[in-house]
Amino acid sequence: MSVAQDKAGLRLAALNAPAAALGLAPGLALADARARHPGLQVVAHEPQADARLLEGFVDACERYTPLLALDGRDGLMLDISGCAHLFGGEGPLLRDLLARVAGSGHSARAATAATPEAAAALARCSGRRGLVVPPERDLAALLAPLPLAALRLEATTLAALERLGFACIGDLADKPRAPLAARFGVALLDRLDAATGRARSALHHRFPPPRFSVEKPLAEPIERVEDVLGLTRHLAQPLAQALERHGLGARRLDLALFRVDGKVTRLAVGSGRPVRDPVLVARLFAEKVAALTSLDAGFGFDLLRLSAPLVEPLEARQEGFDTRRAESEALDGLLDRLAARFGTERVLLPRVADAHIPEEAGRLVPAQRARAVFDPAHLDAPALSAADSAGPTRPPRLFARPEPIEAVAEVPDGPPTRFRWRRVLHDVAAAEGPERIAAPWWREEGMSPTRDYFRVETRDGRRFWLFRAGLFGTEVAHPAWYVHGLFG
Amino acid sequence: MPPSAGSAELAGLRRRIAALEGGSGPDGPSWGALPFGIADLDGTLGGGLAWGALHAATAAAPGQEGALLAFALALAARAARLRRAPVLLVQQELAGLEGGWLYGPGAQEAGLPEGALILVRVRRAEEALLVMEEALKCSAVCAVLGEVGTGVPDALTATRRLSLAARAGGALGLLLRPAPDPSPCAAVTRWSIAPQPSTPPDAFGGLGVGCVSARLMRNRQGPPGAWRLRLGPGDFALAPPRLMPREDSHDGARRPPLSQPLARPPLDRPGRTAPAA
Repeated sequence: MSVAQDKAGLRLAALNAPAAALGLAPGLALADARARHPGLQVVAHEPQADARLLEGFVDACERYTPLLALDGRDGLMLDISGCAHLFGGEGPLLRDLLARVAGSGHSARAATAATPEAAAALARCSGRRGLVVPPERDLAALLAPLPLAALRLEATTLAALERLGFACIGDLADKPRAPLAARFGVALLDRLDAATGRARSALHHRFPPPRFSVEKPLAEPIERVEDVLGLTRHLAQPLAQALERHGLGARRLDLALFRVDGKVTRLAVGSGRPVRDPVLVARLFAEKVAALTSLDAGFGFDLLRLSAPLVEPLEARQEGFDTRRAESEALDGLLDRLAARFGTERVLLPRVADAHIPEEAGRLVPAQRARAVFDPAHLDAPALSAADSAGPTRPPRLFARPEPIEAVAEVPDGPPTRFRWRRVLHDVAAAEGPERIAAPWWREEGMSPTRDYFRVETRDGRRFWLFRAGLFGTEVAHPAWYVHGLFG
Repeated sequence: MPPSAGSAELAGLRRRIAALEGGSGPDGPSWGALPFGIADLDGTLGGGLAWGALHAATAAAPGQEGALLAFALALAARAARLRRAPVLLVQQELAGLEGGWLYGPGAQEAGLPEGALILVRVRRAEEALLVMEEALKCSAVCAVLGEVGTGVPDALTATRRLSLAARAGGALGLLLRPAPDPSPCAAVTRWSIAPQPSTPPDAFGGLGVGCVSARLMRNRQGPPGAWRLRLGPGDFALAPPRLMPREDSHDGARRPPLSQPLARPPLDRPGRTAPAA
């Protein structure tokens, strides 16, 4: 039994079966409950932990159907249309589900019905643990004896209905609809119609169902990484055939490993260009697994599912003598493997944007997202003409944050003559600048002060990219100096 | 045993060893060399830096990572232009935090435009070596630069692995270290890079093209040596020897022809005209 802190003190939040049998109910003050039954054992209520537990159950239920949704704070909704026969029908599926939940040390009630609302109402209020309602049964008649709370109406509506003498769903069924809607709003009738199947309702799926998915249930759980990878390659073959029939390749692949005890491990790999070759797919997952410290197999996995949530057209091609294309594919393969191993955000392409602010001019974008990574034609246009005798204007190394320095300048607006960076004093021998970079005029919010950039060379030949933040006298009284990059 | 039988046996053994060593001769791999374009330097190296081999470069002193990367990027740009293939740079996070991350516009001015350079950021030195090995095996990359911030564990074995991977793929491997490293290394050449004061472009002072001193510490193909190099975008030139130290306004020894030292106006202002040759 757990309690939660309320405005008025500690109140019961959830009960186990023996506590409910004593006549206690959620919402009761703990002091009252203790007065009635002094021997109560109480723990603190942890809604986040409950939510996590419930999400764990949702993940585990993906073995039955890809269409899953959370139902309130204490329920799951499984859309098993077209899936039940794989488990021997709705009854066996329900029994299997309840047995697995019981195996993990929890208790649950479940019901199947033709509409989600009816199933939810029956599971919560029918008092049966596993109720299977065949689709031809009249839902209105079945729901009629259930209390109105089963419709999960708002508390005020529920209280008002009870005051008017409506106790169960059947009481509302044959009442005129217009006065009900006028008095309680359309939501009440919508709920009623959705439950009895007169109106359709939509579920919020936890994961969008993938179009292409293959899975392999195992009679005996597997634990070894090699077995998992071997089976992945095995699974990738039917997936590749399915993708090939539609002329598609996968840009993202998900591998879900269902553990015997209900935990689900999900691995996702992406690729820069569409792939479907089983060997390539298995290689990507091998890199992903190698990056994990351990594939926590517990007592083993008994179901593997490989799905392709993101697909793109990939036509079959004639192999040619074009080495350029082969090299480009080899490069993409390398980038995919590195991204699978170290993460997409660590394999990067430096981009040069047309912006004055240095941080915005040079951005790093994940290489997998950038198409056509390398174009040899770009190499022919030298960025700097040979006549330009002053060397590069931008440093090859830039600090993530400009580092503050103590600088001495001869004139307030001039370049520094000497500065101290990381406790080392540098004497400036030559400087070029200032190159004044101000924030764009249209950006007023959070505008940084104008920067005067100088390229300086110290007496031992080291080159820095320094800037003075703020115009002397007009923007700030004492401008600060920073080193932003290193030329050499 | 007749001498001919002995020599045939020896030749057979040599062939076996050559096969074990990856299909190339015992002396030099068959991939050729990347010339610097400086006759003296290329002669010392036997034609240039060997493709399909691992080279190592360290900064001559801590805090000179800028010159090290400038040298490496100039080399990489030269490799990319000759082989028409991209370059991969691995930066360990420590090196990036200490000496700054690779900056795209700067790399572009060094001769590596968008797309010609791929950056991989890793946390540990072992990961950097692993990325280097993977990339060196891939035929689509022409040069692999790895900047390692911390010590390389088991350096001889690690660099030997990289050498073998480079020999298999034919790319140029370059291991960059931020400080001199006495640990053994299987690289074909080892360089020590230090920044050098540049030659002012004109009498008004200002910055010239960046210079480094490249000291060849170890060379399997020939003697060691030292050169002062001017780094252009993808090309190298011998820097003229410095005749006099650059005067400093504080010393008052020599003053420029202007009454006070002025910063040279930058050449890169929008709308500038090309400087007169």
